[in-house]
Amino acid sequence: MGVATKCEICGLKDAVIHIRQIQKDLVHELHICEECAQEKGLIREEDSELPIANLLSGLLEGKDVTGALEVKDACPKCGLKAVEFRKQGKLGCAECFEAFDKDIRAILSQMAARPRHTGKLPHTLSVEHAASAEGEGLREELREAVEREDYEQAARIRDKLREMEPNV
Amino acid sequence: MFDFTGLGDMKGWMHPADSADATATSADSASVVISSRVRLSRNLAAYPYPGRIPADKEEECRERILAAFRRLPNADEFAILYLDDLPALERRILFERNLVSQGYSIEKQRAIVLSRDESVAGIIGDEDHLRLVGMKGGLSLEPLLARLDGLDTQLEESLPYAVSPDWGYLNTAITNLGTGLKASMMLHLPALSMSGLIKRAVKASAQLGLSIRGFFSESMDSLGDMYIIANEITIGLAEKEIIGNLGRIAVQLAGYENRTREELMEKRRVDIEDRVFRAWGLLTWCRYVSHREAIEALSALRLGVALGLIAAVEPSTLTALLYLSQKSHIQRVLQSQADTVDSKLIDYTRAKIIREALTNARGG
Repeated sequence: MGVATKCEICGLKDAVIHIRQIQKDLVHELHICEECAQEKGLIREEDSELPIANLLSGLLEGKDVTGALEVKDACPKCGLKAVEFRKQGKLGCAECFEAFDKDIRAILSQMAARPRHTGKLPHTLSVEHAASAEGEGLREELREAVEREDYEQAARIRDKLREMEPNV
Repeated sequence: MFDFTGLGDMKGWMHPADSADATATSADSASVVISSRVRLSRNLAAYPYPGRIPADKEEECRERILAAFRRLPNADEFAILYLDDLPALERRILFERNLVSQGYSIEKQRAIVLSRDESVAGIIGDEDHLRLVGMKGGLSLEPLLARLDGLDTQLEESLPYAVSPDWGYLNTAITNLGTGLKASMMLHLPALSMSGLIKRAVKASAQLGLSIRGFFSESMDSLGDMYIIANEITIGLAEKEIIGNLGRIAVQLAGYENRTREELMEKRRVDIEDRVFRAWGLLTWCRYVSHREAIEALSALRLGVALGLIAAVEPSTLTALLYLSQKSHIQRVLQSQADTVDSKLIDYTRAKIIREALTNARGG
């Protein structure tokens, strides 16, 4: 290797940790620097192997995706209580959706195969949304690929994301 | 707004064949797919949702939605009906026409917007701030969606909807997020019902994210063999995918139904004939008929028309009779506003309306 590979997280330092997954005759590689690996909590003495899933999840948003928002006891605007919402599955106002975000996500992911809106949006919102929609969709796919440990697909999606957003 | 005093001038509604325009079915699907319905739910971001909105805000919200309808370039195609101004009978007729739920029909402070042809309505302050509803005969999901979508796009210019890129339209029920689209079709499935195959159809539909339930009762041995098939999932699919899936399944069910009818005609012809001609005899000659009896006989007659056993009766006439044989519709014929009315008189009038509509019927 003539030129040192850059870390795929920070893109600054040289990668010193190389993860290689070999599947049939395909090879997928991830390269990260020591500092990033430590920051992600991936290097500890007792770690016999690296949790790749966490690493890739971290790549998505730079945060631990499992630690989502806290659920509030009641909606600050309309006063709907979390218990009432859970019992009836009905929201009291537009702000309830932020207040009960985590609950709603959990319910939707059980209810629908793809719990993300793909239909019509009001014109004003859809123009703004179109630009980021594709990237969002890919990130979602990346997350799913990582969850089912399909690193081959994950690497492919990551490359696609890079093409779209060179700064990532 | 045109002059529209309640439903008083529901044109031609005493002549089932004419009033069936809105529910007319195309020849090929007429034997199974009776009608289609599409509903889009929307809420305004600025107001708490129905059920949690204070009365003064509720009125403000309602007037804001009505103002948006008044600003439409084609505003004269719609009439605004304040339910508080309508006699109880006409509110019940709205319910009998499937425009509003029974609960909604007796609520205070409600208003609906109704298109001149009565095929499109804006229901304000039901479970959501606004529900656009469209109904049409036969397999008509696409034209209905196109019409409601166009109306919705016009309205959104003056109504800031509660919406998010991830979850689409933020509606009251979590089961109604995303598109806020509920599409349904009324199917006549007597053969699947007789053969017991309907249970399998219900299971298979559930796996596809659709539901099938009886129209006149939730149970599976639905009165008159009328079933409603509808989408359950409103998020994760585009509007066109939702109605596309539903339409495909309905066409498949219609195929099964037709094949089963043919099989029954081969194996149990006399049983079928007996059921059809018995119903024809009842509806042609009886002097009193209950609602339940009428629905069952009209269903058998519809099957007879589809199988060519009865001629000179339009399926659309039979569809119209399903609506017209309901109690409040009959009370309107009798011009009786009373809440309690002689039930013998209702049964007598029902029999008369149906008999007159079927005078031309003959054996096929």
